[in-house]
Amino acid sequence: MDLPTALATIEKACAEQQHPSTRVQAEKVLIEFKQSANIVPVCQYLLANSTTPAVQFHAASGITGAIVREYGLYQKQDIHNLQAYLIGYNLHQTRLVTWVSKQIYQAIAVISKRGWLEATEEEQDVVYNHILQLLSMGDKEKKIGLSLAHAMVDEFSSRGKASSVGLTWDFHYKTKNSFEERHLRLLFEAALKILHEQLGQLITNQGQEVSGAQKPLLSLSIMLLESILQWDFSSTSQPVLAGTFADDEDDVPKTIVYPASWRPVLVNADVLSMFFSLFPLVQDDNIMTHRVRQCLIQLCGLHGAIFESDEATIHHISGVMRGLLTLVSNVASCSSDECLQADYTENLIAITEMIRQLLSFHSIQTICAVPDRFDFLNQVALLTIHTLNESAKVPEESESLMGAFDELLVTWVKLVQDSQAAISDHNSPSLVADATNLLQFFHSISYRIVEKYIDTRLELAKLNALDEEESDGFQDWETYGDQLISIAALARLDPHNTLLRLQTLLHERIEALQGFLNTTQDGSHPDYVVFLYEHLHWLIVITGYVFADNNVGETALVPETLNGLSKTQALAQDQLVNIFSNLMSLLDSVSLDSHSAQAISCSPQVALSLFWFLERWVKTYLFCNPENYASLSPNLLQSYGEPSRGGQGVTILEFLIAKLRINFVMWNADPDVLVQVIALLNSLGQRSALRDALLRSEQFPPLVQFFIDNLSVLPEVIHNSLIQSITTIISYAPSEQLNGHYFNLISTAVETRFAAVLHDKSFTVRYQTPEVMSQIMNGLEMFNGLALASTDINTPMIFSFCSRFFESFVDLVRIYSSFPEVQILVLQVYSDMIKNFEFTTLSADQVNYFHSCLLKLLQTFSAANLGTKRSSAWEDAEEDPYSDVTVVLELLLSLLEVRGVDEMLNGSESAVLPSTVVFSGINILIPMIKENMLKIPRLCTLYVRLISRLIESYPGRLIELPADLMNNLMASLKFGIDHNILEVSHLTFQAITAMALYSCNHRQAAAALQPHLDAFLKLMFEQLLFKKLDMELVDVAGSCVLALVCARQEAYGGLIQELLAASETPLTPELEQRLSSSFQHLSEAFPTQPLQPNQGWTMRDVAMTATRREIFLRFLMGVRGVLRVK
Amino acid sequence: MTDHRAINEEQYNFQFEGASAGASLTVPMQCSALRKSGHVLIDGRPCKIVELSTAKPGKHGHAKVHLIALDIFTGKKLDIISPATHNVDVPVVVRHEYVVQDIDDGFLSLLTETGIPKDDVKMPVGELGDRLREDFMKEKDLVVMVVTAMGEQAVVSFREASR
Repeated sequence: MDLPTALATIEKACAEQQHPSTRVQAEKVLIEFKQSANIVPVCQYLLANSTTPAVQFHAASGITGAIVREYGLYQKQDIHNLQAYLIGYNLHQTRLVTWVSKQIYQAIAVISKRGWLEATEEEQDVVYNHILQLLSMGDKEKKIGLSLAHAMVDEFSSRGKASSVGLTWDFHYKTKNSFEERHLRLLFEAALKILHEQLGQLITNQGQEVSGAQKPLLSLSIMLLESILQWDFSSTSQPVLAGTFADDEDDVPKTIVYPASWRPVLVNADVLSMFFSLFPLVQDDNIMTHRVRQCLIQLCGLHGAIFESDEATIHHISGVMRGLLTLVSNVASCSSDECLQADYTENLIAITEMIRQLLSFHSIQTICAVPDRFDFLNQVALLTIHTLNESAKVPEESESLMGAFDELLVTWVKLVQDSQAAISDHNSPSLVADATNLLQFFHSISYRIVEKYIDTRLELAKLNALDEEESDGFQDWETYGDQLISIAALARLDPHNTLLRLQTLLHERIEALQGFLNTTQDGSHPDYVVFLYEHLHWLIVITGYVFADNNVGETALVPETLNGLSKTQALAQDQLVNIFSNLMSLLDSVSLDSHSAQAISCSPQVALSLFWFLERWVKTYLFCNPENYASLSPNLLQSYGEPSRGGQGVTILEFLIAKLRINFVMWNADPDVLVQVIALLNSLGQRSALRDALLRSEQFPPLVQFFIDNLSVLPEVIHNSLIQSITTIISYAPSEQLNGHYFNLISTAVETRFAAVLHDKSFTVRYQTPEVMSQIMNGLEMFNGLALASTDINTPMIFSFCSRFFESFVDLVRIYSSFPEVQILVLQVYSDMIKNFEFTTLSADQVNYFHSCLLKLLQTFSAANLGTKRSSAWEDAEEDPYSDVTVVLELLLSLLEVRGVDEMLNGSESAVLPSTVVFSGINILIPMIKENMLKIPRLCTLYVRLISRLIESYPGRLIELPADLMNNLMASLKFGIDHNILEVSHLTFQAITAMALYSCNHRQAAAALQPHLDAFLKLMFEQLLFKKLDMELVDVAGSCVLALVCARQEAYGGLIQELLAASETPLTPELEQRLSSSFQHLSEAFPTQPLQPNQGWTMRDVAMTATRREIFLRFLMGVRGVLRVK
Repeated sequence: MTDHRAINEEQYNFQFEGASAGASLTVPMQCSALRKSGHVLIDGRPCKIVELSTAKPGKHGHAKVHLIALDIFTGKKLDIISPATHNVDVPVVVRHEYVVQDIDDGFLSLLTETGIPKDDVKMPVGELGDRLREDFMKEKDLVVMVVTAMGEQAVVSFREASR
C-alpha cells in the first residue's frame, strides 16, 4: 500500500468507526493496520498529512506498538530521531487536541522505556534532556516539557498507570527502579522550579481569578509534583511477589515513606512554605486545590530516615505547624453559610488529615520539643469544637463534618494515650514532666470536646428522630462505635464534669417522659416525645460507653478514673450510682403492661438501648469483685456487690429479672428488642457468682417456664437462641440437684409439646395443618437450642434426652417428605448436635447409635428428594437459596471435623464409622450440587471446604467413589484453583496436596487418580507461571506443587517444556537459560524421600520450610518476572 | 381478610379425603410469629413467604413486618406490610401425592394411595407441564405432588415412582 492510499484507508476507517453499522469492520481495519510490519514510516506520514484527530491518535498508538514489537530492528539513532520527531510534532502542530497530544507523549515515554535496559546512561538521558531543554524555553515549550515529564512518570510508575504493551513484569520492575534512581528527583526539582516562577506571578497579580485553563503551567507543574509525591518508592516499600501488577484502582497509601536521598528537596522550609502559600491562591480551581492538598498531606506526614536528626524533625514540625495554623484558623472561623460553600468540607477534611499526619508519626518526646505546640493544639481544639458545632447547624454537610471530627478525635486520643504511656513508662524526669504538662492541657480541653459532642448529638436528634428512612440494620452504638470509644477515653480524663452533665440531661428528660406517660391516654406519639426518646437513646449510649468497655472474653473492669471518682464521693452523691439509678427509674417507667395506652406510646428503640446498656453494665459492675482491683470503690461494692461481700447486687438482679420478663411480653413482636434482652440474659449467665445467684433466685424458674410456654408466639428468629441461653445457664448450675431440676423443666416442656403432638393418634391425618406443623417446628427449634448449648459439661445429659427422639426425627423426614422446611430443621438439629456435642463424653454405644440414626436420616432424606422436579422459582426468590443443600454441606463438614470418634469405635465390628456416614452423605450431596449453586460465594466456599476436608481425612476412600461422582468432585477442584475467593483457592491447594501425598504412598491403589493429578499439575504450573497469584497463597501453592511433583515425577519433565512453549513471551536463548536455571533451582526444594520412611509421605515432607520458601520465592521471581506480562 | 375467600364449600370438602374436612380454610396468627418458608393469605390468595423482615416507621416507631410472598398457584409475587402485633390469616395448605394414570384433555387422571381415582387436577402449564408430558410419554411411572389451599389445587412437582 502506498502512503496516500494508506492515509485514505485510515481516514475512512476512522470516519466509519463513528457509525454503529460500520464500527466493527472499521475497528478491524485499524487493528490490522496497527499490527502490520514496518508501519512507523506510514504512521509518520499519517501524522504529517492528516488533521483528523482520530487518525493522529491511531498513528501515535501504532508507533508505540510497532516499536515495542520490533525494537530489535531499529538502530538506536533511528529511535532517538523518532522521539525528537514526535516532540517536534507536538511543538509545531498548534491545534492538537489533548487526547492526541497525550497519546504522543505516551508514545515517546513507551519508546524510551522499551530501550531503557539496553541503553547507556547517556541514551537514557535523551528524553530527560529534551524535557530540561523545553523547560528552559518559552511557555509553550515548558507546557510540553511538563506534559512529557508527566507521561514519563506515569509510564515508569508501578501504580498501575504504565501502558499494557506486553512487557514482562521484570522489565517493568527494573525500569521503574532505574528511573526512580536516575530521573525522578531531578524531574521533581525541575517542576518545583516552574512552580516557583508561577507562584511568583500569582503573588504579584493577586486578586485575579485563577484557573487551570488560564494557568496551564501552574496546573501542569502541580499535577506533576503530586504524581511524583505519590510514587511507590521501591527503596522504602515492602517487596511484592514477582508478577504482581498493581491495578489502576489500587488506592495510593496515605503515607508514603520517602528515601533519605530526597532530604534536600522535601525537608526544605522553602518547599513547604511554597505549598502553604499556594494553597489559598488556587482556591478558585478545585482540581488544583485538590492536588495541592494532596501534596501538603504528604509533606505533613514526612517521617523516618528522611530526617537527619531530631532537630531537623522538630524544625520541620514547627514549620508545618506554622503553615497549618493559618489554614486551621481560617476554616475554624467560617460561618455556617461559608460551610455550605463548595470545597469547604473537602478543605476541612484535608486539613484534618494533615493534622493527623503531622501528629501521628512522631513520639511524644519529639512533639514536646516543638516550641509552638500549645498554640497549635489550641487551634486544633477550636477546630474540633467548630466541626461539631457546624455539623449540628448544617445538616447538608453533617456527615462530612462528622468525618472531619472523627479524624481529629482519633488524633486527640492517640496523643492522650501516648502522653499517658510516656508518664507510666518511667522515662526521664524531664520527659515525664513534659508529658504531664501536655496531659494537663488535654485534660482542660477534653471536657470541652465531650460536652460539645453530647450537645451536638442532642441537636442532631431533631434531624434523625423523625427520619422515616429505613435503617441500615446497624445500631448507633455499632455505626459510631469507634467515635464513642474515643469520646469515652476523653470523657474519662474529666469524669466528674462529664457525669454531671450526663446526669443533668438524663434527669430532666426522664422526668419529662414520666410526666408524659402519666398523662397520655390515647397511645399517641407527639413529635416532642420522639425527640425526648432520641435524646434518651443517645444519652444512654454515651453513658454506656463512658461507664464500661466492651471486652470480649475477659471481665472489663470499672475504668480507673471512674473508680477513683467514686472513691472520693459519699454514697448518696456517688455519680456512677446515681446515674445508674436514674436509668433504672427510666426502665421502670417504660416497662408496662403491653395492653396499656402508655405501652403503645413507648419507644422500642429506647427499650433496646436500655437493655444494650445493661448488657454492658452488668459485665463490669454487677457483682463486681474487689479482688480484681487494687482498691475498689466501697460505693460500688455496696451497691452492686455480692451479698457475701455485703453488697446489694441481688436486689438489682431481681429487679432486672422482673423487667426482663415484662419487656419480653411488651415487645413480643419486636425481634430486635428480644434479641437484646436475650443478650442481657447471656451476660447474666457469664460469670459464675452472678449465674449462681440467678439460678438460686425464686424468680428464675417461672421465667424459664414463661419462655417455654410462649415460644410459639415469639418470632422464629429468637427460638434457638432463647433455648440455647437458658440451657447454657442451667448447665452450670452449682449443684446437680438444681441442674436436674432445671433440665427437667425444659425436657418436660419439650416432651409435653413435641412428643404429645407426634404421638397423637390423629397426627398422620393432621400433620399438614398449620397448628401441628407449627408445634413440630417449634419443638425442633427447642432441640436445636439444646444442641447449640451443648458443651463437654452437659453433652451426656442433653444427648440422653435428645436420643429418645432420634427415631422420631427420621419419621418426621419421611412423613414430611414434601415439606423441605421441616426436613431442613431436622437436618439443622443434627448439624448443630454434631458441631456442639462433645462425643468423647459419650459411650461408644451412644455414638454408634447416633451415627446409625444419622445414616437412616440421610437415606430417608435422599429417598424423599431423589429425582423430584420442582416447578417453582422459590429458589430464585428466596434470600437464602438452596438452604437444603447448605444444611447438608454444613452437616457433613461438621462430621468431618469431629475428633476422637474413630478411636472410640475401633474394635467394634458393627460400628457405624463417621466415614461411612460422610461418604453416604457425599453420594447424596454431589448429585444435588448444580453449577449455578457454585456461583453463590458461601455455597462455593462450603462445598470446596467439604471436598478439601474429605480428601484430607479419607484420601483412600476417594477411589471407591463411582466414576461420575469422582469426576464431578475433580471438576469442582479444578474450578477452585483459579478462584477469586482466596479461601477457595487455599482449600483447593490443600485438597490436591492431600490427594497427591496419598498417591505417593499408594501408587497401585491410586492409579485411577493419576490422570486427575496430571491435570492438576499442569493447572498449578499455569497458575504459578502465568496467572495472578496472591502472596498469601504462596505457601500452600508451594506445598501443593511439591506434593504433585513427588506424585507425578514422570509427568513433570515434559509438562514444563509444553508450558513454556505456550508462553506469550518470545523465548530468546538467554531467557531459556534463565528459565531452565530457575526450574533447576526449584528442583532443589523437591523432597527426595519421606522424612520418616516407615510413615510414608506426609504433609511434613512437603511443608514450606524457610529454605524451601526462599527457593520457591526465588523460582517465582525468576519465572514470573519474565512470563507475566503487561 | 376472610371476605376474600372465594370457595366452594362442597368442592372443598370433597377434595380433602376426610383429613380435615369441615376444618377452617385458614387459621389466625400474630404477624411476628410467621415463619420464612411458611404460608400467609394476601389479598385472599394463599402464598408462600420468601422474605420476612421487620421495618420501623421512624427510629422510635413500633415494628412492622414486611412480607414478600409468592402465590402458591400462580407464582405471582405479592407483599404486605403489617404491624407486627396484628393477626393475619394463614391458609391451610395440604400436599398430597398421586400416581399419574393418564393425561387427558388438559386434566390429569390420578389415583390416590388407596386406589381411588381423581380426575379434577389440571395438567400444569409451562416448563413443569412440558417435562411431565415428556416423561409420561417415555412411559415412566410418575407421581405428582398436588397442593390444595383455599379450595384450589395444582400440581407443583413430580417425580418418578421409585419408592
